[in-house]
Amino acid sequence: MSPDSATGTNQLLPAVPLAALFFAAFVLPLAALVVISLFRDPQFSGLSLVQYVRFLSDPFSLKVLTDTLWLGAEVALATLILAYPLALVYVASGPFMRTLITFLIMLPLLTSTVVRTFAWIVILGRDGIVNSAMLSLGFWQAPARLLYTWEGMVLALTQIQLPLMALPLINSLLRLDRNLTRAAEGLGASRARIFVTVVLPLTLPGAIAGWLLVFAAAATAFITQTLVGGGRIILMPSHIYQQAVGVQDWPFAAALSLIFTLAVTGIVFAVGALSRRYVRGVDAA
Amino acid sequence: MSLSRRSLLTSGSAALAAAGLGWPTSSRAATSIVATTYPGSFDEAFRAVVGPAFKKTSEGGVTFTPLLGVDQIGKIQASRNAPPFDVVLFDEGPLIPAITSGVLQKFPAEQSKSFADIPSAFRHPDGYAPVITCQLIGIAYNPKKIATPPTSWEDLWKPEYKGRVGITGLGSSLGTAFMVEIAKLNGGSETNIEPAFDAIKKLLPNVGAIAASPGALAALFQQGEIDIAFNFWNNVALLAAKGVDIAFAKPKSGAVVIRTSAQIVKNNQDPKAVLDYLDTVMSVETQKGLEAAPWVMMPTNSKVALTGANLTVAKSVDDLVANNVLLDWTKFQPLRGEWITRFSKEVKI
Repeated sequence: MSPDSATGTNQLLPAVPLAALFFAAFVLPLAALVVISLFRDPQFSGLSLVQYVRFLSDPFSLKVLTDTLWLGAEVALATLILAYPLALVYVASGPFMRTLITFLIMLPLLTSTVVRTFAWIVILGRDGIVNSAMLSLGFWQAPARLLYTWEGMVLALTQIQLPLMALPLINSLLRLDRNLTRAAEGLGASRARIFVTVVLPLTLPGAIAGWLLVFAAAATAFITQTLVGGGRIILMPSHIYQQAVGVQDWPFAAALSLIFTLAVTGIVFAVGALSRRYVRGVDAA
Repeated sequence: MSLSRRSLLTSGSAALAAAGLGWPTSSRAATSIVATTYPGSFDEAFRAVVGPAFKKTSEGGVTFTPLLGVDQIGKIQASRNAPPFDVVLFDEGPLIPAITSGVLQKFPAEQSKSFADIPSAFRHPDGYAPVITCQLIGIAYNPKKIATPPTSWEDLWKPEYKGRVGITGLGSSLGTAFMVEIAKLNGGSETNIEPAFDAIKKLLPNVGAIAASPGALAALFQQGEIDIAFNFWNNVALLAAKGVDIAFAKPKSGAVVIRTSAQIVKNNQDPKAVLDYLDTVMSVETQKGLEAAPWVMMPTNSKVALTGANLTVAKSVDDLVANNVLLDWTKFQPLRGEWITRFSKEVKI
């Protein structure tokens, strides 16, 4: 054995516990999921691909999948639009403001999702803050339905997932060479033009990273989807739960889980690959 | 004496192993059996009343694990020889697949002290453990918004409740029992759900919210999102006691009764302790404790008199059985899977 490979093994040793945990708690269950999804019926009699055929030939399930992916995309776009100004303010601020902004961004991460989601129920409810304010100011004649709607759910998820977008974006902006914006300024470009032609393209990798994080998190946010979306809006996480726990159809629930996992990771990889191929930002430089 | 790091590690990991993996510990004499409860007030009531009562009569104790009915079967099936629970809780519907899956053991009625006091409607026809409490389904409404208390299920369809009705799907005993009862009242039966789906589609203009679970349905009253819904008597009584504007009306066709039983798991740690536990839960004394405020759980022991809020829905345990609706879940439990999916697809607002 050469000394080099010995060092290599020794360096890998500390990673063994994590790898073992990952194998036991992720790889094995995933393998079990694959096996379960191949059974013909809930009684586990015989193997077949019937669950996948069932999914692909069921317009309801297909619509649930596309709705869920669309929700992830919408929320990710909304957080992107809100996070850019925030990140720009952060970069332009002094050390004290920066600490304050970081603290404010991190604050929601320190409370449980259930609590953050419940706050949205209180805000969006019929007797909630929004409705009472609009009614007492005379803008609305009758309380509007905000809770248990698609828009309400997008709004709540946008706030809840915002930190996942803001942090990579700030990181990207910090790495942006200030000389580039100064040069553009010196050449007489307007602020809007600097943002569109210099800042935006160069920070795109951060924006895409944030978009992917929020996309995956929002599409799979079972708690918020169920509490703010209610029983009316059926998305993949609640569809899987219903099939597994309510209907007790484990093979179909397993197939749904795998299809959903593949769809989300597929999009994440595809967007990631495309951005590496076509986007040249601060991180690629 | 100083503790060495080694001894600390060994004892620590042994304790971890015993706690985490459920390996039998050496103290076999004072077994603590594990019983499941339903999350929420049910769990609180069992910890407050049943736990201390069992401690008095037995050498060991009982550890409560709050869990939903359907989650229990999977966990027992995953480890049939050393099941994680000794006593499990089921509503009538989920009890059926649990029996079919063969994880439950029959109830030794002849050895039980409390069995004689349980009326026949609460005894299992095939000899499994009897019903320990039941939940009544009626109409929950906001008395501040609805001046005349509703009197029948049809009231939910009144045009004046446009956008004010809350419903929940067939994933729960609550939604399923409601749909079956509506089917029966509209010319259907326990196997013919068609009239209920027709009726629920006609109800849609009135529906303000479709809640994901019975708990969420009750919470919608607190948010002022809905004013009227079918719901469990127990949920309503607990919310009303907390000051929420909610009241309960028993429809004239009778409330639907959901029977909840505590069942014995095969290969449990200690059959005698398990039987003692069930006897404790069914005993007059324990059931009196569970029946009293703040728990207001319906007793199933006919010697327990109803008091307080429970008296507003039934005169006695016998009256409860005689004048309300019991459903035969064995007829429609196999159809539920299909109904759940159909509800998600067809009932949209």
